[in-house]
Amino acid sequence: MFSGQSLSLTRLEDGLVQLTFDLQGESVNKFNQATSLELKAALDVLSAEPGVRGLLLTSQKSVFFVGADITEFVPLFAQGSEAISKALRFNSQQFCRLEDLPFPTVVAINGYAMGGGLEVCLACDYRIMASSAKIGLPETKLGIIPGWGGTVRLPRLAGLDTAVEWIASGAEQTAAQALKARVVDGVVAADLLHQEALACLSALADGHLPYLPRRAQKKAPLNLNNTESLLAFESSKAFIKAQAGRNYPAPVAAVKAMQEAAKLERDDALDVELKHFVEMARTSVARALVGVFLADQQLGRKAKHWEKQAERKVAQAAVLGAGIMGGGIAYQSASRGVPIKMKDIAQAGLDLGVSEATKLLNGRLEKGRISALDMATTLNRITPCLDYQQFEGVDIVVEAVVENPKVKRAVLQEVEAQVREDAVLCSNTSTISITSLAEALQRPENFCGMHFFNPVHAMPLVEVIRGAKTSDATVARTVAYANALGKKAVVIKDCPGFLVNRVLFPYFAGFSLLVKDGVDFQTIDGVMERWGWPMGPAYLLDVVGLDTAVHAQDVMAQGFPDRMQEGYESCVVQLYKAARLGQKNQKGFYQYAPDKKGKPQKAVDADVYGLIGQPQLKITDEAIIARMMIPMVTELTRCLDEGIVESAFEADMALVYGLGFPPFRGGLFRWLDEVGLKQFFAMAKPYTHLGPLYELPPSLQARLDSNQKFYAL
Amino acid sequence: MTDSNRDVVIVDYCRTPMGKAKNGCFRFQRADDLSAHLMRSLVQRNSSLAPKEIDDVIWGCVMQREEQGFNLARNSLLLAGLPHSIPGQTVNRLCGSSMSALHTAAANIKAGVGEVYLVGGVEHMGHIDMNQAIDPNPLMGLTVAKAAGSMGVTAEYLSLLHGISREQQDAFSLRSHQLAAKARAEGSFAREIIPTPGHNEAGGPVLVTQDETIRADTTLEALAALKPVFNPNGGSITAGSSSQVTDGASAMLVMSAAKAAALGLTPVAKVVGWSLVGVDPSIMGFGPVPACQKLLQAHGLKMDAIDAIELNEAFAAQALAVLKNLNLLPALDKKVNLFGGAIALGHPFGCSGTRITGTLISVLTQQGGTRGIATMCIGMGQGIATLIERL
Repeated sequence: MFSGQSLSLTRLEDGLVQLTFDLQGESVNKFNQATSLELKAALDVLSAEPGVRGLLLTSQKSVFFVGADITEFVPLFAQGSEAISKALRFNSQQFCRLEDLPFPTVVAINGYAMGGGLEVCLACDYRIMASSAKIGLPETKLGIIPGWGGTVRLPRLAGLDTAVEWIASGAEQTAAQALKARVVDGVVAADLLHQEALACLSALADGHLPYLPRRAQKKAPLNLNNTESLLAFESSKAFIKAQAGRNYPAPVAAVKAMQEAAKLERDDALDVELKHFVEMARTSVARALVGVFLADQQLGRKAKHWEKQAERKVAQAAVLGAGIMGGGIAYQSASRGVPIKMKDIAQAGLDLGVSEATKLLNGRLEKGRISALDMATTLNRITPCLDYQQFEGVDIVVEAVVENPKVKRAVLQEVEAQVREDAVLCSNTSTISITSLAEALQRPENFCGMHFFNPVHAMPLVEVIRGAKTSDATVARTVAYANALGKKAVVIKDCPGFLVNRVLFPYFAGFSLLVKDGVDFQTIDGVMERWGWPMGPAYLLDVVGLDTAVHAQDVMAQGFPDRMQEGYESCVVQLYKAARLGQKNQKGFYQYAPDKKGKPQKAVDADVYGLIGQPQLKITDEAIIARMMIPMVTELTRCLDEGIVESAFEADMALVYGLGFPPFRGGLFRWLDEVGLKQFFAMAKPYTHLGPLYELPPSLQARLDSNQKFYAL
Repeated sequence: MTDSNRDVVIVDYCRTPMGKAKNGCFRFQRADDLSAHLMRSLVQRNSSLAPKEIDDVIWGCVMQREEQGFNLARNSLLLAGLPHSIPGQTVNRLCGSSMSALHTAAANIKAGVGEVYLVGGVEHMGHIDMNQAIDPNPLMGLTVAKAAGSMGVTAEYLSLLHGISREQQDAFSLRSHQLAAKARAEGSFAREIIPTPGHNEAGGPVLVTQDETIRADTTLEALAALKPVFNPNGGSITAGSSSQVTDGASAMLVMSAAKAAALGLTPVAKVVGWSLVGVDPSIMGFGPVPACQKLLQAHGLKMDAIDAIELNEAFAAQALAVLKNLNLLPALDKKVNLFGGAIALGHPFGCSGTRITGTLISVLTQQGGTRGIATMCIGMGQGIATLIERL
C-alpha cells in the first residue's frame, strides 16, 4: 500500500493493515523528520483506503524505536523557537491523526521504545509488549521534556503519578513494570508478539474488546478534581524539584506542563506541552545534556573501534596488589564476567581485597539486585593468590600496588617474566609516567597505563595511557578490557597526571590560593557545589586523602615546575603536616563520623582554622568561580594543544565521568562555548597576576581571534 | 418489622468469571481491579441510581494485605471513579465475608440507617497466598486443636465423623463440574457474569466472559486417581474434591424496597432473614447445619418450604456432611447447588458469599422457585446463612 525509506504499509487479512517501521541504512529505528513525513504520507493513504478495520504498528528492527533522532535536535534547537515548534507540531499532528483513525490501532513493542518511540505507542489504542522489551521517556535526561504528547497522553492513560515518575526520572521501564502501571495492555513472549498483537487487533475490530472509552479518556482533561489535582501537582513538584536539583529544570517543567494542561482536551494540552518543550530546548542545560549524550555515543563508538582492533578478548585478567583499588578492580572484573587473579604479597592484603569485593556484592544482594548464587559465582571469578602460578593464562595484568615508582618498576619487571609474551601489562597509577615505568620492561610495547578512579565500581572513567613505546595492539586490548568492565575509556598520551589529575591539580592550586588569600574554604565549597560540582574542593581533597594530594601535587610540580610549583605552604600541606589526612583518618578540612549506615558524615571542625588561619577575605561568588575554574581551563587547553587528549569532546567527557564535572554544563570546553571566549577572557583578565596558571594559552587567543568554538553547534 | 417499605431488596447482582489462581486469566488483574470493575458495572447498569446516593460500600475480603490491604473497599470504589463522597469498609468473616457485608447492609436498611448499599467481595488467591503471613497464638491450644486452622484437615475430620466416603466425595465433585458446565453451556450464568478484562495464556489482553475453572470433561476415574492432599496416608480429600483456588469478585446492589420503587428499579429478590452461629473450630465445615436450623426456626419454616439451596462447597466431604445432617440428600438434585458449586467454580474467600447468593437468585429464576437459602461454613468454626425470596 505504501513503501518508504522508514516505514511501509501492507494489507493483512480481514481488512487489517500493518504499518512496519524499518529505517533503511540504519541498524535501529530513529524517529527522524523523514519518518514524520512518511508517517503523514502513510496516514494519507490509510485515510483514503476503503475497508480498513484496524492498524497494527510493528518494527522490523530488534528495537521498536530508540527515540527521536538526537543528532537532528542540535541543528533544530539552534534554529530557534519557531522552527522547533513547527517541526514538533507537525509530528504531533500525525500522532493525533493516528489516534483519531476511524478504526482501532494496536502496537507491537518488540524492543526498546524510548522517547518519541514510546510517544507513538501512546497514541495507539492498545500496546502489546514483548517481555524482553523496555520502554521509557528519557527526555528530561537531555534537559527537555517529551514533545510528541508524552506529557499529555501518559497521565491521561496511566494516572498523573505514573506519568510524573516516568517522565521526571527518565528511567527505563521493564515489561513487568509497564504492565503493572497499565501503560501497556499485555506482555507476551517475543516470539508470540506479532500473533498476539494481531489477535488483540482482531478482537478490537470485531468488538470483542472496547477501545473507544479509552480513546475518549486519552483525549479528555485529566479526571482529577480541584482538590486532588492541587495536592497531586504541588506534592509532585516539590518532590521532583528536590530530586532534580536547581540545575536541572526539565523534570519540573514536565510536571508544570501536565499541570497547566490538566483541564484541557488533548489538542490544547499538546500546545501547552509544546510551549514548555520549546522553552526547555532553548536552555543551555538542554544544549549541554544533548551534547553530553552525543559525546557519550561518540566516545562509545571510538572505544568499540579500538576493541575491534584487539587481537584477543580478555578471557583472564590479573590484578597485582589487593588493596582498595585492587579489590575494586577485581570486583568490577568479576561482576562483569571476566575472571581475575588477585595477587598480593601478603595474605592480609588479599583478605582486604576480597572483603572489598564481598562488601560491594553484599550491598547489591541486600538491595535485591543479585541473588546469593550470583554473589557466589562472582566471588568465584576472583582467584586470590600469593604467587604467580598459572599467570601464563593471563591476557592482561593491571598493576595496582603502592604509588611508588621503585616498587611499581620492580613488580612490573617481576610479572613480565611470569606472563606470556603477548600479555598486556598495565599500571593503575594516577601520576607516575608510563614512559618511565616502561623503561624497566623487556616489552615496553605491551605496556600502558590503565587509570581507574576511586571507587572503581562507581566511577565510569578509565584513562588508558599510551607511553612512548606503547603499541596500538596494547591500547586496543586495554580499551577492550575497559569496555568489558562497563567503563568509559579515554585514550590519553602520557604526561604527568595524565589528563584528569593534570587539570584537577591546577584547580586545587586555585583553591589553595583562595584560602591563602583568606577566603573561607567552606564558602568556596558552597559556591562550587552550587555551581554544580558534586563536592567542593576541600571536601573532595578530604575524600581523595590529603597525603595522596600532597604526593600527587609534588609529582605535578616536578612535571610542570614553571606553573605548578606552589612556592608557599598551602593549606593542604598544613593540614597534612598536622596529620589531618581527610576521610581516611576522620579529619581533614572537615571532621567525619559515621552515620547510622556507616557512611562518613562531614561536620565543621573549628580546629582547622587554627592551622590554616582564620578567613578574612570576602569576595564575590563570581570571583571564586573564576579563580577556581581558570587554572583548569588553561591546563585542559594545553592538554588539547599538546595532543594529550585527542579532542575537545573526549576531554569534556573525561571530566564528566572522572571528576563528576556537572553534566548540565556539558564539560569544560562546552562551558567555555556557552560562556563565550570573549566573556571568558574578560573574566580571566583581573587574575593574570596570580601566576602562569591564570595566563590564557595562545591557542585560546587564536580561537577568540578566529571566533572558533570548541563545538560546531 | 412489618413495614414493607423497609424490606431489603436486591436490585442487581453480578460477578466476574472465575479465574484460576495459578496462571489464570486474572493473573495481571488485581483484587481492586476486579472489584472496581464490578462496582462500575453495577452502577452503570442501574443508571437511575445516582452513585452518590450509595450510603456505603461494604466489601468482603479475607487476606487483607498487599493489594488487598489498606481498606480495599474504599480503594476499589476510588479506582472505579465513583464519587469521593461514598464511604467504604472492608469486612472479614473469612469465607462468610461478603455474605456478612450483605447482612450489615440489610440490617442498616431495616434499621433505617441507610437506603442504598453496594456490597460484595473479592479474593485474588493467585496474588495473595492464603498460607503466608498467618501467625496463630500458640496459647489457643488451651481450647482449640491447632489442626482446626487447616481447613482440609477439618474436612477430613468431618468425613470420618459422618462417614463420608471417597467415592461419595468424588461423585459429588463430578456433579459440581457437570452442573456448572451445563449452566455455562446453557447460558445460565449470563445474568450474573460481567465480562471482565483479563489476559489469555500468552499474555494478550482479552475480555473474559466465562468461568475458566469448570472442567466439563472430568470423570469419576480421573477424580478417583487423585491423591489425598491433606492426609496423604489414608485421607480421602483431594484437590478434585476441594473448592478451587480461584481469583474472582462478586457484588450486589441492595436497597430498601421504598428506595427501589422511588428509583423505578425492579428488585429481583428480597432479603428475608439471616443467621450466624458458632461451632467447634475443628468441625468448622459443619457450621451451615446450625445456621440453617436457626434461620428456619426464626422464620417458622421447614426445609421443605425452601425451593433452592446454595451451599458453599468448601469440600465435598464437608458439603455432604452438611447435606446429610440437614436431610437434604434426598432433595439433592431438586434443590442443591443446581449450577454447580465452589468445587467447579472456585472459592475466592471474600467473593463467595455474595457470589452464591447471586447464583441462588439465578437458580430460583430458572427453576421458577421462590424461597432460597445461601449458606456457608467459615474457618475456625462459624456458619452463616441468608434466606431470600425471589420477587
